[in-house]
Amino acid sequence: MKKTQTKAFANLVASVILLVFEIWAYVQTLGFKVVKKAAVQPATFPQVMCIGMMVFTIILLVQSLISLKKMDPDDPNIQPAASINVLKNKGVQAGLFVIVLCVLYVALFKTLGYVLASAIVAAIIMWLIGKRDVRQILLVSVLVPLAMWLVFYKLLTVNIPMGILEPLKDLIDMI
Amino acid sequence: MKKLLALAVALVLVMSLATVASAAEYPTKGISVICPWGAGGGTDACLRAFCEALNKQLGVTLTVDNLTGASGVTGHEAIADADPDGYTMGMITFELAGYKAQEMSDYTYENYDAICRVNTDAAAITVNTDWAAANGITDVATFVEYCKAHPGEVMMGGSAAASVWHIAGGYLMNATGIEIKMITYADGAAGAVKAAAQGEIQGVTVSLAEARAFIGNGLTVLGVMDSQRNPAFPDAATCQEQGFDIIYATQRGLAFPKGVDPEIRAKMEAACAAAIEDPDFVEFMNNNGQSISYMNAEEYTAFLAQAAQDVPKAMEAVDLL
Amino acid sequence: MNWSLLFQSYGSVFLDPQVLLMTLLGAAGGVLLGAIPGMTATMGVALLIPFSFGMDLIPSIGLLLGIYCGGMYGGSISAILIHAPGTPAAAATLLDGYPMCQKGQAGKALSIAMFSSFCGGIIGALVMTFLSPLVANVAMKFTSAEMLMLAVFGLSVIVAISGQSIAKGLISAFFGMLLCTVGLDPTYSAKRFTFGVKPLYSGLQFIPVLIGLFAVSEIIAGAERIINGEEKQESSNEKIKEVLPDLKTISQIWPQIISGGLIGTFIGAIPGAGGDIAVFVSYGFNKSFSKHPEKWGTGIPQGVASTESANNGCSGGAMIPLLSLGVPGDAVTAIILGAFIMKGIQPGPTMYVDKLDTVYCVFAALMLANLAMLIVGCCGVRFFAKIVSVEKKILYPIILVISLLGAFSINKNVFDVGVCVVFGIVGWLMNKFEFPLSPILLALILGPMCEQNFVRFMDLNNGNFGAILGRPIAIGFFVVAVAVVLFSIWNQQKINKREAEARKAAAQKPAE
Repeated sequence: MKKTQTKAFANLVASVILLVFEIWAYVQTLGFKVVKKAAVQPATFPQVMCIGMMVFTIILLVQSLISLKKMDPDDPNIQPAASINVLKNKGVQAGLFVIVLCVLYVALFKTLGYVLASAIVAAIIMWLIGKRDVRQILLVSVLVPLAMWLVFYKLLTVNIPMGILEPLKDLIDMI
Repeated sequence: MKKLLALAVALVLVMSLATVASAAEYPTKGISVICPWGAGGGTDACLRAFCEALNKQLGVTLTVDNLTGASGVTGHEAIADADPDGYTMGMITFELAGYKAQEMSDYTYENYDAICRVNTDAAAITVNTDWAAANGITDVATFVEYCKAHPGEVMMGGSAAASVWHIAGGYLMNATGIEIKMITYADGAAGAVKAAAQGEIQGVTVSLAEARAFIGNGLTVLGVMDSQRNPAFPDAATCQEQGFDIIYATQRGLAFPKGVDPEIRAKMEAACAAAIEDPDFVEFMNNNGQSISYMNAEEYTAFLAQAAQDVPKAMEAVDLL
Repeated sequence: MNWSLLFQSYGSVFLDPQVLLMTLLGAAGGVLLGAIPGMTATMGVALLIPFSFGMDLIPSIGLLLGIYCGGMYGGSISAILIHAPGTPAAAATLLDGYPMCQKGQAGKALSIAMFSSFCGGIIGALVMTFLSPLVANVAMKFTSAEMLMLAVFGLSVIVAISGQSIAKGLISAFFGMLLCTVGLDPTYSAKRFTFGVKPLYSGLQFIPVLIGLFAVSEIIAGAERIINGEEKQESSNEKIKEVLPDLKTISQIWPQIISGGLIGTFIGAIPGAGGDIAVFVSYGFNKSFSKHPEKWGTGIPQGVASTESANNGCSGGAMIPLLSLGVPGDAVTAIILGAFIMKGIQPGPTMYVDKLDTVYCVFAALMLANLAMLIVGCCGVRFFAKIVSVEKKILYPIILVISLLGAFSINKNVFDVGVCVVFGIVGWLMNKFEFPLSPILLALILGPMCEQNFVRFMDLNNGNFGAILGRPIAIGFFVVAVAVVLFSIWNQQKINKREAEARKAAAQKPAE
């Protein structure tokens, strides 16, 4: 096994990313409002949390460096990293595709409305992960969001945006 | 199946045609009412009860929509940004006066067409009974005297930061020239009241309704910041009676987004004026310990303008700005 | 204790058909509401308050308590079945409930959750009936110092739920605490990490973050597993003979049920601390003192029992300060307080003198509400357990759209759906890099409590932290917290050693 495929290397990558995040967050706290007579400044608590995170990130960094250094590439006991290889792993690609769909869902939530956006996203994901029965896909992905909306709108009086299907509300109100 | 679909489409078309109507016939369909605070809270309870009463006047359904978050900014902005067709209104509350000063929102009372004020709840100076007895504090005058002798030592609680009761402390300081230390209780007025009863702090500047569980049972009311006594607490003297002109209350009222047809506004104002006297609504508010204090659109707008000046000053006194 | 009046009150509550009906309806509604991610018992109670105006006090209290208890159990259903806790108080249930479901024991997990909820609720109701004034007095001793140390004690559990690497667990925890500070600060209303985004003023909403971290990330990972052919369909063949756990299981879980119920009742009784905190304290406590801490988190009945008994114990606990002091123990009881006041009754010490019969009737109603929850639960177990047998390719997308709706409905803001998706990605990445998720959850629950009470304590004492030495209860909590941390570290080392040996043994086998 290559050293770059081990858990220790994944930890190393993670701790470097985290360090960048922590430094960024700490710099942000420097811009918070300063209150003259305050016993504890608004920035203090987040700063302590940043520093706490940093301390343990550095510990993780050192731990992973040491274990990478000591590591014997042929040792069968090495713990492999979980797969994050986008190019090779079809599963990870599918996961990323689901993420992209979720982001699109948020972007279209207002214009399309809950029922339509949900139906489209649910149907695409079902097809993506290998469901091929088109009738079942359409039936489930339309009826479930519709039923959820009805429950929220009528029973719980929670108003959910319907986007272009907005007239449906008037229709339901009439019944 | 196809026939059913055709029928549905036809119905939807008819519906959308039917909703085009003039101001003279207002209202012809349901009105959406935005509540900037969560379901189950004081504003929500007051608004829902008032909508029931308005329903009787207008004959259409009023649907309360809780658009919460961002300390009420979300809901308040949603009201101002709504289509000014008269079919969306909302409840604006005390907090609106502080948003601009805190740089949380650019919106002020000028972005709304006020309809009426519905409710106010006055703050009260309420202190720990044992502490008051030990320091010879019996009324507002002795309290102010004590605070002047011990500047910055008396600690008072007032709900969450930048909340109406927290700012009440700043108002009290500005009005009497004393210096007290305001402690915040992010979990709400109940936490502050409990802390005052425990003796962690010396008193609270919350409304009588919030403190009711401990009044006479660990806490003593020194003075209510109102012009007249609260009927639910007839023994609690006002500050005015004791020679201190301090009037401070949270307030809630209805408003349209700016730019609604004057004819529609007049109709809604008339409906509100009638609904405020609805016996069910009056009974609800009495039971709930909230006082009804109606103001018409003109008075309410003037009131909001005054609040927009006073509130930021009080906020400064409690280090919020 | 006025026994004859107590029995009389129980009789009048248990024999009144209106009360029975209302409580049962409340429990059914509560279980369903609780099971939908994003809908909480608090919302249910708030929605039903107007309905209860027309009723007499006891039926309306029965209805509200029914929702309250039902909602506490309902949250565990989605936690167990779809990895999305329906309510914050069910957050810890997924630690062992979901693994049980993945092992094909969904029905068993549900029935354990239901039985533990019932027992926890009964423990809470019993404590409330017999020890109310005593517990209320202790709860009144809790000021900012004690609350701060209670939060620290809760946080000490993080080490116990960190998993293999304590460093990673603590990074997660500090990250969670940092997330809590987003928004206006609780003391001076200063903007922190808001970047001019208005919905961030009130901070990151707990439920969308929760749903994102657990449910959405699980769905992304699920899609991955299906494509890679690693997903196994849970068989629908799990035979549910009895809807209640058998005697053998009960004999395994009774210590966790009792300790969970008591921890839940006590934490519930402290105003400002509720079920969400109690479940983690109970889970961490029971794990630390278990003989096999390494099995916790892999799907064991004890894990589910310890959390579910704690959150229902809370409902009894939270009623204690409400009745004896007039101070609500949590958000739901705050609304129930409103119901009392609407009927012209001010709960508090005077109520025990003037209206003892009403107090006893409320005790009885809580007992009844727990029974109603058990009945509704029994009817529902078989049905709910069927959900897992739905084909995964259909189930995952559907859970996704239902979860996102739950995130939306908290504030009715699309921004929260965005937050939910972002934390779905964060959760997925954290899983990839093998960072534990549960410490974030605990930090999100306890972070605000910790910061607020710390800042307030410093404010009250003019920045002198040493004043904490004058608070014996606070010191006590701190000592226990330190003990729990040391004990968990010791436990974890034991676990890691055993696992390393097991790996070595497994590696040597093929060589032989």
